[in-house]
Amino acid sequence: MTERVIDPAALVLLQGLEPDAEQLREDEAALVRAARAGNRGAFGDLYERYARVVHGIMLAHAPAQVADDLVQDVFERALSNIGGLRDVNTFAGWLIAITRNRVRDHFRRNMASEELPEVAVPANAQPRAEAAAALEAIRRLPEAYRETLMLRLVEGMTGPEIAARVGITPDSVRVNLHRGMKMLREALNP
Amino acid sequence: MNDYLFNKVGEGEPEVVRLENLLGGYRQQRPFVFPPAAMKPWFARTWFRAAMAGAAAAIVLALIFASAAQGPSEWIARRDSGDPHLNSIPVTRPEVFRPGSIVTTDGSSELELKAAGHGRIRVLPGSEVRFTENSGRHQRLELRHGTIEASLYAPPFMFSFDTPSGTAYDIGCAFRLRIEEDGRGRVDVLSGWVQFEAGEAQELAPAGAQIEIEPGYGPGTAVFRTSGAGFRKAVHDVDFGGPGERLEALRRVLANARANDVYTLLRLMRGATAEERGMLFDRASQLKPPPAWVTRDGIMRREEAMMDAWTTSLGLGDAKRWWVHWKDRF
Repeated sequence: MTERVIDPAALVLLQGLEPDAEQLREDEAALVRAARAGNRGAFGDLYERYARVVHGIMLAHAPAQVADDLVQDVFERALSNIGGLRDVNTFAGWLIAITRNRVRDHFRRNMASEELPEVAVPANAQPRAEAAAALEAIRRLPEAYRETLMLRLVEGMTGPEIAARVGITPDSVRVNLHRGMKMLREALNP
Repeated sequence: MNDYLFNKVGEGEPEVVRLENLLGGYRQQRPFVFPPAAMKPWFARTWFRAAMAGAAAAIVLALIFASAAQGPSEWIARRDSGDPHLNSIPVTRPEVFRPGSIVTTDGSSELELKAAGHGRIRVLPGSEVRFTENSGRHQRLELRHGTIEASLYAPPFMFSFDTPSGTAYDIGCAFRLRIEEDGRGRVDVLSGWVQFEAGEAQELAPAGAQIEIEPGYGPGTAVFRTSGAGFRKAVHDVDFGGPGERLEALRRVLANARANDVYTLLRLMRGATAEERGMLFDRASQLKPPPAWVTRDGIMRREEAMMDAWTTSLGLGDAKRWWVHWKDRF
């Protein structure tokens, strides 16, 4: 059984530390190797690390009421295909590619859903209408800003976490967040 | 410099904090549900299991067809305890049990029927059983009243047991069937699956579940023996209560349901109105979410493929894989 390792990205929240990119890669590669060999615990750890990323990307494109199902579907696909992942260091990019393909599949099958109506607002998002409006406003932003803001404002990830998970530089994340937030403010307070 | 938007350190700008609070309700929370049979070691992977199951099935089928080719096989009635009777004659030594024959046990006797090389059926005290058909490929008995315990190794539906309130079909391979004089009764499935039919009414129960039988109603909904008393009572009221009580009873079913009860909730959907079906879907999906592609709309439209997929995802075993269940009885 694979020893559970502390997610270095979580240390950012716990201790205010910047994640060690090299350590992160090594830990993750070990998890991917174990998951590839059939270790469910390792795959569960990968899910814990990446579920918010996949969910955030889903929310940037698909209605909230189907996002959870699509996340489950993405990880089921990953689970059944992880044996074919040759380079364990490419897991994040590979998973995000599956996510984007799943979003495209969803819209191919549900052409009528392109308007992304929000009918299932969580009870704890108050006030509901405001939350739905904010979500819609983020979705109208350019893709790079929209996904980064979903990961930051909805999923609660920090900029360094987003950078480590999505595979872009922290500076790019910072820029996307600030530019996206500026556009969002303008959209919400015209 | 404070860069809360980037690193969540320091005091956040009010608009950012407001949006965080507003949108936090959409955050990802659902745990991953491993699909059945995923991530198994090589010896448990599908191809290996399929090959082994195929080989086992081929051997078993060859034996069964060889046996069937010889025509009806002989059944034997053997006294276990007390003073059982075969056609009103005390059973003192093993006797051949032929179609048309009747065995009876009083309150303190038991008898065993050896079922033509396919297992055995214990006839418990206070029972009357008639042998109605032995055609090699179909074995039929009638439990007029009392209790039998069947432990069978046979293809699905080869053995059936008529009762005054309907018919139980063995789908492999161990169960207890009790019928009172007034037609009330119960099926307790010990391993494999059992189907009970009465007219149009039909119920299918996996190992660990039981089916209540009421004359005039037929089988109730399968409920696990480990389910809570409140849940079981509520399901009974839904199945056999008056029409005016049904909605209230269904609400009690939902309130008392636990994860172990999702199979029962799925079975209840079959005879439910659209409103009830929606309520059942919502509760069942809270307790055990269905596979990703199974949708509320699909379930509301009664799409069998989705119902089947959800039921399969519960991991109760496949009713058709009787060659796997038969060994449970040992």
